[in-house]
Amino acid sequence: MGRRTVALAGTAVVLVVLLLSHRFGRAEPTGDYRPRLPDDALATGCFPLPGGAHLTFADQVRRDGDVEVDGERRRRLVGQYDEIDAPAALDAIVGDFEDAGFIASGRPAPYDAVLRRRGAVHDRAQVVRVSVQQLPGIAADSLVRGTFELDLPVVRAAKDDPVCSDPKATKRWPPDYDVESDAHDRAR
Amino acid sequence: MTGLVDRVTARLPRPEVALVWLIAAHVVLKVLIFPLAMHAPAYNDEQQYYDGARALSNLVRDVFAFHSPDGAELRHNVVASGWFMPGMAILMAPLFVVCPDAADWACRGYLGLANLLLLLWAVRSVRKRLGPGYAALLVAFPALLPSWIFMSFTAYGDPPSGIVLIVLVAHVVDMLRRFRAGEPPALKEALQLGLLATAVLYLRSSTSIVLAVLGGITLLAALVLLKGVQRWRALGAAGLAGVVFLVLLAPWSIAASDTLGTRVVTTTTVPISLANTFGDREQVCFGRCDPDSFLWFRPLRYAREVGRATGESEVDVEKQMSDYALRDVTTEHYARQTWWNIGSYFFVPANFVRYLTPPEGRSTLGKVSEGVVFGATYVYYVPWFLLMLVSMLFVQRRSLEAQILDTLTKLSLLTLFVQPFVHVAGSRYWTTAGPLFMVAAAGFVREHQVRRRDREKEREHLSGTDATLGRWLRPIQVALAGFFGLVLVVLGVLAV
Repeated sequence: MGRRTVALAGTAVVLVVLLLSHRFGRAEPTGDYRPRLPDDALATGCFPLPGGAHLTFADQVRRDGDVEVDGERRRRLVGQYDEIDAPAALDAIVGDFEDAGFIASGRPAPYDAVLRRRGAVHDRAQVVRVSVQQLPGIAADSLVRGTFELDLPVVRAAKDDPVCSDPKATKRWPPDYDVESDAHDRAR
Repeated sequence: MTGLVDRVTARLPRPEVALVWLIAAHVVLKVLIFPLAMHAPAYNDEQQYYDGARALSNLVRDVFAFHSPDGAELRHNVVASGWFMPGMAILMAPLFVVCPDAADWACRGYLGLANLLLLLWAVRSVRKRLGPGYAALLVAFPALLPSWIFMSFTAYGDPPSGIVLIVLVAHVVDMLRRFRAGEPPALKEALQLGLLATAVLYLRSSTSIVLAVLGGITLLAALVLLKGVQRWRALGAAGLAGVVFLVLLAPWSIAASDTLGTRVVTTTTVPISLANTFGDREQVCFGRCDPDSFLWFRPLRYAREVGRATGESEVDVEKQMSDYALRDVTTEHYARQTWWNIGSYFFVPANFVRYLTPPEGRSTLGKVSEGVVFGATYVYYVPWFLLMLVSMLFVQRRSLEAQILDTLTKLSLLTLFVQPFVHVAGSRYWTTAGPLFMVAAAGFVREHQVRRRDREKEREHLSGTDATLGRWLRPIQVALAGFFGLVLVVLGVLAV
């Protein structure tokens, strides 16, 4: 057999394998190295803002959870606003809560805004306090521009859905969160 | 040291014979080491290479069944986050074409076989262009290094890209020989050069700098060494090599750019690498990243979240994250971190033997074997590494060929060594440069031998173009060696 015959025979075998390959089944990629992006914390509907308020500017929630403040349990939600600067972000947050039936206080200090529920202005538990802070040293064209902190009344999970207990989505990281205990990540 | 080398070389068989024995030894070691890797599931980045290969095999399946391919699957698994070019995925795809649900041992065995064939092809090519001596040495190092053999059962592209790179260097040396004789490169050679460069890049995208430098050198040499019509023909050939390279790079770049919504030429990793390596890790996500998961996945998820919120590409977000985290880097911090990277680049050559283990852990025999492989790797690696290091600081001028090879090796190694300056290095990075360690080390030893033996006629007599080339190369070699030393000294001073 000459080299040519071998080459021809080889090509024929490869071609037959290729043409038959769909009959061998289909490979199943795991997709593990590009995990699905968890839903946005506020878009999950698990822990909604009071009064069903809805933030209308580009933002990402960084941390959410309950804390003890002066003997009172409060929800603290920390996020970052994008594309706008601190004054515009503050206006947007206040506007979004006003749309949900809140009234902004004229004397918010030491916060940047304090909002009370229409019809429940004296209910301390329902008050929403807002602090907004521009990030230091950001570039002029930086998308992420600052952080906002919302001091909110505590809420329970609004629904019984696995996503509501996934800290990747809710950003409610347990204080003792242990990377090693996360089976998915141990696989890396 | 050289006395020992002299005595050893005097007893060695002819290179041709040694080559056969060395290949046999390589194969035996491979068979012995295979059980250590056999049951290890895909580890870290390998998961992406395996997935990429699976998706590509489905593409082949669909094309030959006249179906439309599953674009979403390809984007998710081949491009994914744009971290890796799909060289290893392409190399592995045939396995999944034939066997879509190949078991771990089959994947490891296939990779081992593919790497063996690649090595044999490289040995043949090096033998033809650099001689049987270098071919034998290539099998001696890195192909006899136990950890390198272990890596040959993995889907990491670093060792095979190093193997293809040495073939590319051999091609360039051969081409320079033709230029010296006044011959322009044939179109076939230009085509080969373009193909080899593409293969190296697809296997390990961090080689882009070394490829650019080698391409530039070849072009420059053609312009300087050739005249008249020949020069124009060389330019045409260079154009062809460039076109081949770009045409083959384009499918990846287009797919990655399209998937990630911004221009991606090779990979997207550099910004986050820089941020994680040299920046303030507490600032990578414009503050702290989420507390869960692996170093590289936290910034990725954050970038995707910002991308989702703003409608911008995650890759552009990553660039901004990197700039932000790097804004307060001091030269001292940078230099210290670079030394740390240099340490992990050069001094942990066997770590993958510990990383890739069966899910249930190794048996007692496995642990002992792992220890032997680990220890033997260091014993065998250190002399080669030290000789390479010394070789980088000295110049070789025993012959024009040696000068050319020395220059190309120094340039290639210098450009490969950029890696620890921009990235957290790891146990596998050196393997891309491994075969060039051998060229540098062997060249240095040979130079030393020749100089000691023939003090009188220190070098060959050159005339014409060769003489000019020899004269020109010498200061370049000295400059490269000096540059290497200078960088080490400056980096040392900065770190203190």
